[in-house]
Amino acid sequence: MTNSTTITLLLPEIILIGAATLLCLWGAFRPLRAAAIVLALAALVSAAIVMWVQDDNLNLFSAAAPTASATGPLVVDLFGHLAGWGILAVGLVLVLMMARPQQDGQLAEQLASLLFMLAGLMIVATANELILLFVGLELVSIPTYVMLYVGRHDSRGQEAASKYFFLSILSSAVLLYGFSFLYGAAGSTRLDKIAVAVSLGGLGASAISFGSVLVPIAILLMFAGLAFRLTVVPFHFYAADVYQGTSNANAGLLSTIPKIAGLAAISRILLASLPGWETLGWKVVLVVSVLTMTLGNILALWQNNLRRLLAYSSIAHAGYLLIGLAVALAVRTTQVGTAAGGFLSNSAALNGLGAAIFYLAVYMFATLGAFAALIYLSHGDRQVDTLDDIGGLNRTHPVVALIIAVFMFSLAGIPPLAGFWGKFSLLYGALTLDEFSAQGDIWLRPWFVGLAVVAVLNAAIAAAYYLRVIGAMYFRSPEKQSSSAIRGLGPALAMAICVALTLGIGFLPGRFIDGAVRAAQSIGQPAAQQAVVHPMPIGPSSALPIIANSHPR
Amino acid sequence: MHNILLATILLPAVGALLAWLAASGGLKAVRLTALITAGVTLALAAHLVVQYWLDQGLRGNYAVQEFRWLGESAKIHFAFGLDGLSVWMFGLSALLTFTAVLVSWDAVKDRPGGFYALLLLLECGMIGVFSARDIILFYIFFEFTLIPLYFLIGIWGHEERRYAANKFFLFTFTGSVIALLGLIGIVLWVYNATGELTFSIPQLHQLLGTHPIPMDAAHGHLQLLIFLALVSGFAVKVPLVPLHTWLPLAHTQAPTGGSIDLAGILLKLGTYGILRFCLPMLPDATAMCMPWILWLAVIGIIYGALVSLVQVDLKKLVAYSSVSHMGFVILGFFALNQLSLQGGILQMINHGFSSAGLFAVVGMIYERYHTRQISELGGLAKRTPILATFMLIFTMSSIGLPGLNGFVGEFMILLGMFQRAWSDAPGPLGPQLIVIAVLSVSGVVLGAWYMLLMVKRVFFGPLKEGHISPAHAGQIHDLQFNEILALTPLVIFIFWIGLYPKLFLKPIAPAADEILARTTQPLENYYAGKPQIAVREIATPMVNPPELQTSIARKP
Repeated sequence: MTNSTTITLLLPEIILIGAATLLCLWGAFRPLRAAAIVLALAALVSAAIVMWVQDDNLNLFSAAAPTASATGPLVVDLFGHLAGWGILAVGLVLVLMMARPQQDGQLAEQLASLLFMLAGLMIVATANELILLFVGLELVSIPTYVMLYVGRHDSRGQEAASKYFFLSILSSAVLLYGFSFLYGAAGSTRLDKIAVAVSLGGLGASAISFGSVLVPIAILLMFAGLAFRLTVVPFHFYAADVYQGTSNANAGLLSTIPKIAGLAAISRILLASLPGWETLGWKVVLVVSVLTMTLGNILALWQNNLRRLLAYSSIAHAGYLLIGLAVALAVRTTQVGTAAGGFLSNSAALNGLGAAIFYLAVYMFATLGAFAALIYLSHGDRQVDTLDDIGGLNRTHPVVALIIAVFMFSLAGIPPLAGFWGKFSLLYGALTLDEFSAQGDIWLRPWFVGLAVVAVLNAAIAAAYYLRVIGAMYFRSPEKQSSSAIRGLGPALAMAICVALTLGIGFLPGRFIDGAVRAAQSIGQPAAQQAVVHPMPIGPSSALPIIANSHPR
Repeated sequence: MHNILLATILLPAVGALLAWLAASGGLKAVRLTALITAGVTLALAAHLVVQYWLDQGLRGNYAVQEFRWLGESAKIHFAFGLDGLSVWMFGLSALLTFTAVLVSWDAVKDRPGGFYALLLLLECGMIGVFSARDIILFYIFFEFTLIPLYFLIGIWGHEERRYAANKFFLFTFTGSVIALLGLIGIVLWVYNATGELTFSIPQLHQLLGTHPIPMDAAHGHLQLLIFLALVSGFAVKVPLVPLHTWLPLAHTQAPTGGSIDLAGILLKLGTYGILRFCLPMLPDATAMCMPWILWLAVIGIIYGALVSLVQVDLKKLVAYSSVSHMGFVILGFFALNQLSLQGGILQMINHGFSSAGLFAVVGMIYERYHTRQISELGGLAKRTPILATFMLIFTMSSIGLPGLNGFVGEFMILLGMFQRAWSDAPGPLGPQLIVIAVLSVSGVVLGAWYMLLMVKRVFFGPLKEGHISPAHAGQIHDLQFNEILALTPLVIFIFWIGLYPKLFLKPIAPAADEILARTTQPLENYYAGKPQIAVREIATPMVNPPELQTSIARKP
């Protein structure tokens, strides 16, 4: 891969960073708010146009997509590309959420920070290099500190910013420490080379080697560092305080962008590049998943502050995401689910990672929409904070109440909304594993059936607090008449986009799930396994179609 | 034909939107929109039901409509169709929504746009459940019904509506997500065993006939697991004791229109699920769990009846009577006998008519006197003779007076149950089943007791009219035209089914036989190896079982 092609591939990121730099400089001269917003939107649109052209050139969406070319610092595959589209969509919603009138200054700096984050995310999703990946992650983290700090000047906002800052740099340090072990074991920072090295001399070898000691330590540290971004138990505890202390827009940002970064990095490093750790890994992930969703949901039951409630809800949803990860790891121990094919088509079990990606998208738009609605309802100095503030909303703002109800039902996973398909694909993945592992590895069954049962019970617990929100809006009478302040077109548009996606994915989920599964398949398997014959613990070494694996009992 | 079915499902959703939009036009516009929508839907549904009845040859494959839905590769289809199990419930859903709209005519004046929109959405969900031929589509409609009813109870309900709405939602939601695991389990097993990934209910049914889900320990008791998941989900809806606690509350707090749909249709979603998935698709587990579920059913019958006996609240009494009557339906299903199964399916419909009628009348009383306390009412037959007449008919239907529909259903169920217990008991189950059969009869007796007691107190004796002052009491009017129009179809069907049940059993019988063809063998197999306790010795002295059964069952 030559330098010029690398630059072409990075063009969307370059556009975003360029616009962000421009906004930063321009911010010093206090530009018109509208102009800053238009510039940010223009950057997003032009990045999208560039990506659209790239789609045509790279031909990633066609059935006969070229295999991932991962020879340079960047990977070109469907995963990176679809992640890019998702990131731009989230970015669009976030820009619109910030674009509300009568907010105190420094909008240009905030928008600049957001654009930096988006560029960082896109780098994380396409990185084939530990250092580039880390740069991408920091490009997400550092502007986040700025965002948290710039928005608010009260003591709670300051507390939230500093809390997030210290814990975030700690997690970055832990992650970097893990990278250093990985480099030590593999001798390269390139992910494809690491994959080859690890599968040859690392965990795959029976003798205790240098690598077999270093790599598990590296995995543990990297998982811990990334778990912070996904708000996974036990790295979750900052979330509630930080969400509560910051503004609605920032809470929306925190509930989405770090999660994209976390999932993309985990997919790139832990799933795609480290063969062999799955034998132990799926159990760890599974246990963490159960803990995360249970703790998040139970703690959310008692919250009256909406941002705190949504913070615990976002922790719980991180637990659901990990179901997909556990499935993706466990599938690799059983030699099923690797065959190509779309969602629920004849030839393939549902890919766990694909379900996780789809779930993340569904969760993000519902959560962002809810925060956008809260921004829309807030006015003047007064933010909408607690359940009491939205009491009787049905009477005062029936349409907004209806839209929030749609988001809550979607988060609770009730058909026919998008959230149902998210839960469905995760559960389907978990149970698929159970079914297909039953021949050789009956021992998987209690784990994954148990996981699925815990997940649905959690869905029921979660429904309780989402219903509290809906109940407050519909079954109470409004306590005070809210003044008719200027609401702003931006948050309204953001809500509209989110509700359209939530309903649209709910009624026609096929394309979206297919896309997520294919994206996951484009990286799902360690690259080394295609090149190097790597003995698996169980079953034949080549990826067989599933039918060949199933025999009548 | 195909498009008519689709129109029947989509029309209420369109009507809901129109009713919501018509809210600015005032109460009249909304009511009229809702009534026309419900009426046209009813006409279409009636047309389909009649056509189905006339054209028996089509049987399971009636008015089938399939669309690819989730893209090219996905196997989940937008597939609809009717068969013998669903055709009557399908018609009943349309009819009871029409009733609910008419009953709410004057009762709902607060935010009518939302109310009628939700009522029509509920209809869309109910009709969808009964016509879905895809397992996931079934589930989507099944769970979707929660949303409209949650709001109907929570916004337009009575004093404790918020608590009732939440409890209703959480109970049934918990049940149905567990059921979802079971449904996915069925699909995955079929995929695993046959290599065919399908979500189509008829196809799954067919494939499971040749590839039954294993019950043995080597496969981790897979069929039992799936059965338990499904039953725990559906039993909450039915509701089967001890999962019934949401029901009295939800019923009491719901507005009348909601109660009618809740009692008439939504409870049957549970029994329909059991009928559609548990019995034919999981026959071995059904055989194994049969005595347990029969016990739960009979406990429900007696418990529901006893609790009804002590109720002071009219609506709660009717609600608990539903627990008792739905126990009969489950009893009929799990006796796994031709008569009882047909009776159970018929009883689903019967209970739909009688309980919907009872709730409607109770709602009308409440509207007039603003009380549901039995002690505060009395002698209403003098003041409102037409209302009292309707009440009496529904009561008699509910307690199973011969000549009315309730009798046919309960009699068939009990007869079947006794046949199963005495002459056809599998293996060692005989004594247990006899106890269950005898106990279940007491439910009929108790049912007559509490219902008649209630009717006597409320409608006869000295006139008591709650807190209405005598001056206002004179203005209490009897049933109006819309109320009579709402109740008359129910009464017609109550007599029709009671006097000529054969007509209604005709589509049911082949469907029931199809289920029994699946369950008979597993039942014999499962209990064949078990030690034979001296059942026959107990059973044989009691010769001439038919006479015995008749005499017991006719007690009411």
